[in-house]
Amino acid sequence: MNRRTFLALAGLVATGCATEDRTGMTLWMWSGGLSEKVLEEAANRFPGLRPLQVGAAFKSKLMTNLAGRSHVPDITGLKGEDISAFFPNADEFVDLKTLGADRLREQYLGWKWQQGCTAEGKMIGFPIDTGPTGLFYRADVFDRFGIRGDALRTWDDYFDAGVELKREAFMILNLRMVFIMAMAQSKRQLVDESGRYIGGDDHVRHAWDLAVRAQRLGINAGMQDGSPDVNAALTTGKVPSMIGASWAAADLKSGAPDSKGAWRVAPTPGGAANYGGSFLGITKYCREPERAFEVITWLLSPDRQTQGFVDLNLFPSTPDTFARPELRQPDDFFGGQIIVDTFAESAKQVPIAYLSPYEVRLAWAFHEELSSVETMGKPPEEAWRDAQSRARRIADHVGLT
Amino acid sequence: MRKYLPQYLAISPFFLLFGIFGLFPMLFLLYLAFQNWDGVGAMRFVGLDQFRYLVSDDVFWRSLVNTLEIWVLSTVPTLFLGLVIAFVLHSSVRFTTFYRIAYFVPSVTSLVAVAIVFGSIFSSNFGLLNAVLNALGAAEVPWLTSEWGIKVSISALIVWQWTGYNAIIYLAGLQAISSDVFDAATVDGASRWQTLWRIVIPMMKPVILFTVIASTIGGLQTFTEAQILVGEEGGPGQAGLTMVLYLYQQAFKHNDFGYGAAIGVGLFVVVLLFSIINWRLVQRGERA
Repeated sequence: MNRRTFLALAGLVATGCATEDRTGMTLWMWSGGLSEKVLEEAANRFPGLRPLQVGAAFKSKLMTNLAGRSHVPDITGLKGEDISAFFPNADEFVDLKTLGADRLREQYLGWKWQQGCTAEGKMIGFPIDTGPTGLFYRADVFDRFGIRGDALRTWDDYFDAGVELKREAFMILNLRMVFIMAMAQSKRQLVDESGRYIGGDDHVRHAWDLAVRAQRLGINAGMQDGSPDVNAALTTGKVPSMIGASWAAADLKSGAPDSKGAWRVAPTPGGAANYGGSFLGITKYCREPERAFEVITWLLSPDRQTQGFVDLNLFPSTPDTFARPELRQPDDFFGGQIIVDTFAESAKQVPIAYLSPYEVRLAWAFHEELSSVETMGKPPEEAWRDAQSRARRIADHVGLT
Repeated sequence: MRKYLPQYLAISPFFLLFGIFGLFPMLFLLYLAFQNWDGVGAMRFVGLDQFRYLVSDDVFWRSLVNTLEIWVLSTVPTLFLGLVIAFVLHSSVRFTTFYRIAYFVPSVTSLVAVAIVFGSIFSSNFGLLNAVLNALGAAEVPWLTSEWGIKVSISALIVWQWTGYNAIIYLAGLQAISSDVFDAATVDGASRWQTLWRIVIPMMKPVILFTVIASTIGGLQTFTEAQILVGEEGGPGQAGLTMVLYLYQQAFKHNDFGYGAAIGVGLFVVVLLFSIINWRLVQRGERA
């Protein structure tokens, strides 16, 4: 290789790296996380802003780039189920409170705001959307049995109704759904603020017992989430109800289009809860944090959140927008019901809960044992003991007390 | 040194790529297995803690047993069917090229796409297979929600994908056998079955050993099939949780890279063990 080729090659490599020394501002998002229209508008409004759609395995890609300290986005989306996993590395992000986030606090849902903050009070995620839950049910099936969906206020009501239509249908998709929703209704999760494992406490046992009772009553279809069975069962009415977040409406529409018009939404039996919803954060590699904060607050202002709902059904985290006419549209899939009203009510009542970085990993032990109960007939008491010993082992391994 | 520079340069791409993407990750894995690391923050040396956790982790042992069970359930039919198909292809005269391509296509098809199709075939309540069983008056099988159903489903996918590939390799081996041998067998009045068992299999021993070793290494690393069919948790009762799926789950889902690395070392030991067994078998075969 002569000197000239070498220099040419070196030049090529250097331009490859040059993106690192950029002047613009990149924003990472997954598809469907923020409205394309809003992002386009933002790119025009803030010259140099480059929204980038990052495909599957979003968290892994972000982690990889953070670990490699290169090509880290200035602004990044953080999924609701992942955000607490970033808490131990909160110093990789800019504390949004130092940029004056607190003065906007009033505009956002309190519990959602709290979810973006670490136990030490650093705020790494700014609220995008939320996932207030509701009871989705088939009015055609419920009517035949004289059941009123909006009268099912407690888990007891819900299970009793399930027993009534047992001859014809299963009220519950799977035990995991019951456990997850009952936990989401709780103020306490599996780990408390001081890093203590509390998965053996009464609130967890309560959620567990509810799931086990559904199994005992014979109202559980035992279908695995995401399997083709689920869509078929929802379409035919074999499973005429589902407790899910607001965004599940979109899944229902695409998964069971033939049941259009038959569905309704009622408040969640047992109380309001949240499932899912995401955040925007600013990484420490961002060289203009003030400007990035301006971008974020513009993107997530009540007006833009309204647009996000219209475009992508992203449920706003700004309660003032709930009453806007753009949101309060009758939905034909739900027989002309204004479903936003039900979710809005739920969104205002979600309990504030502390989410540790280990919730997903610990919850797995419980989900796993519940699935053994429903598919393999494992005795529930034995399953509870196994779930406890497994979760305890994981808790010890990750250093919880 | 200078004199041989062009030669070294010519072979360097392989060593460079191997060094960066092969050797470095292997050494780093060994280093990681002694650390506690969440992927971003500071690493903390924990000595043998990860390995202590590994040997006492019943999920790891279950994943090992799952992997071996799926390996046996998939490899035995794959190789047997491959051999039969190769034998049939070898003796047939019409459309041979068509069949060869048809049998090879599965092994170059996107695994994710295939797994999604298989998911619909094996789905419990509305799946194709259960519909057929129903029509025949047989009882439905909860394919993707029972322990052996999951293992059989994953194995069936592997069998479908790799039978053709092995058949093509066997076919090449068959064609290397002189036709005199076959002619002699025919003259002696050997049936097709006898020809297969008494002549083809003994003469193809080296080829068969190659396919056994290749499927062992591939089978112990089963990952995508299980991930798509039963999900990252390995399905009900973790019946579909293979070793690599468990590694992936711990490292990339739960950000426990230290423990993920320890599982990787465990996997390495198992593959090493099987390679030694295979190697001994080949050695013995050659001495005899």
